[in-house]
Amino acid sequence: MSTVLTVSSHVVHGYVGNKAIIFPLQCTHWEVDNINTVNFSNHTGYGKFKGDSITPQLLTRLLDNVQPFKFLITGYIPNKTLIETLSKYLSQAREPPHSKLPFVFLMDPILGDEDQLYVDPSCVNSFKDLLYQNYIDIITPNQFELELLTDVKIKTVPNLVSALNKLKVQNIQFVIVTSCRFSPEEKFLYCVISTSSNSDIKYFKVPLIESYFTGVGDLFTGLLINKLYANYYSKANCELLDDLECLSISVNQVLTTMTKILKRTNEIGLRSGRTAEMGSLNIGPYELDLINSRDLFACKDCEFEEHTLINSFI
Amino acid sequence: MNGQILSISSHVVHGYVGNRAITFPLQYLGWNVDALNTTNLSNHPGYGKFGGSAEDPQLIVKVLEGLEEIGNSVDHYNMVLTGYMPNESILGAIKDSIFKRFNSNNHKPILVMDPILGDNGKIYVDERVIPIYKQMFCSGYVDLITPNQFEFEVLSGVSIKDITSLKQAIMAFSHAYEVKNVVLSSINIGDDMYSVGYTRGAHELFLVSIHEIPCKFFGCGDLFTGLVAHNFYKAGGKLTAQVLNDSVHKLTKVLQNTLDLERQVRGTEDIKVVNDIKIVPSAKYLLEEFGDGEVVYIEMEEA
Repeated sequence: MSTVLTVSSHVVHGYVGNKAIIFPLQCTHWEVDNINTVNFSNHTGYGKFKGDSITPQLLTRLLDNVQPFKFLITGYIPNKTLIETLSKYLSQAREPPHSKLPFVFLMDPILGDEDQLYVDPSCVNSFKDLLYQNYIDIITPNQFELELLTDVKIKTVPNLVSALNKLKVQNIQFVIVTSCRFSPEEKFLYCVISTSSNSDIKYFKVPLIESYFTGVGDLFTGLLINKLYANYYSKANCELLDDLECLSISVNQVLTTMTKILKRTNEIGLRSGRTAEMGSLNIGPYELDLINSRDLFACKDCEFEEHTLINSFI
Repeated sequence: MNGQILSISSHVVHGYVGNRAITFPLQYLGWNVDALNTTNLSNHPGYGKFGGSAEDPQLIVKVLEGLEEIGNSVDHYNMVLTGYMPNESILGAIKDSIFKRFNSNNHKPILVMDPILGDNGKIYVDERVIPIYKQMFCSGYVDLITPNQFEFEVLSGVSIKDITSLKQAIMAFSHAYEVKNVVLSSINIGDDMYSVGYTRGAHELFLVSIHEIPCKFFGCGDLFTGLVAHNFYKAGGKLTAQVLNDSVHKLTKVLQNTLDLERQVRGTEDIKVVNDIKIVPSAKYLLEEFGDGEVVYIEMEEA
């Protein structure tokens, strides 16, 4: 059990952002503190929602008063000034002489998916600036976000490798590209992993479920922190496995758990008689079924086969 | 099917008060908890230092409209719970938004309200919420309220010292308001502490004795309201002795475990205040079903 502060969105109804991150972590015995960057009625996939982002002043006041934590997760931060506020906090919390307690920082650079931005375009450069500050230990972009952060359009495997190599310069220990596809015909999503200490790039082929889900990336980051803690951070003195092996086991466990949750969620959605569709109220029955998945969050099974992408000698 | 609850209370970044004390336990008990936050604070004021503020009432109205537009208006829920309301504008906005839907619809969710005003003789919200609570309690829409002794004394105008004055307070409250069920989370009579249940019009009220833990726990009232709401719903919207018994027992288990853990961490037995209930490591107690405990029934002269 450890402590985490998660900075992401709050929706009253449904499971995205902090609502998708907190419950699974609490069920696996984490003490979770949460700063809500927005207060929305529901996620944007419904086609309509109401609510507001918090002000940078409020974010500053909340960050100034946080209690100590071991892990920091940042997710949905919808505008430039909020990202800059976070960045300022990090520069105080991480740089000597102000650094009080060390913590592991996972950044989910939420910008959009499948070529669509869902934050303000100014966020791209603000996240890039954060990247250059070298505060990040773990990063979990999807393909579109990796493209925006590295300015590399990913259409082929060599494109992917050069994008990852661009990130490597920032010395991020764990890089996970949560989903990647090279052509729309492929029935798989590739989940690609790489570490700063190893030149290998590994990947998993995750069968695509023909549906629409929201909050999947958020759930991924929450589950990942728990698995990385179990397989790596809580075992820092053992050093039996190298970083990449630890990451591979952790991501494999996360993907195994997620696949089960998504299948369950999809079955519930289908039973409603409605077909999942983005931008419509028909997305409603496809909210992640986290409440009935309490037994799955601690699952240690690894049901995916690990593949090696390429030796990308750096 | 999972129950759907809309819980309207405070948010703190750290610790377990308000919605943070209600959400996880109810989720763990199988509820889809839609949490609407009335504050955005770093922690509860018991820490001595905090940052943040009450939510803008306009935001709360907007978010409720947003829910309505996706087919989740308040009457869609199985249960609506209200907790910490920092000021009259927020409570007024919530009253208007909720009652508007209750007026125009057939299905009405169970409405549980914790009229948070203060404790131990001290008010810690804006006093202007009191008349709004009183209006709401006259509406006939409220199924259950869970005040503490002080709050019930303020609402009934009767101070509770013994069984006789307890009965007087309940009668005064029943005459003044139309709330279907009342749970007094805790009252002190002599050296003993009880939780009290009364259903409007019933010929008796009942008391469940509380094993008093000599320590102050922030957020235990919020957790208790969540547990009572859950049990009340499970009992088909009826306030039974079992509803109260199970809630008191679960809460006691969580608080005792909290104190035990706190003693281990601090290395001392002498603990008078616990800032954060250890809800997460006490989760298993939420799932334990407690059998019938001792209940004292007291006849009401006048129903």
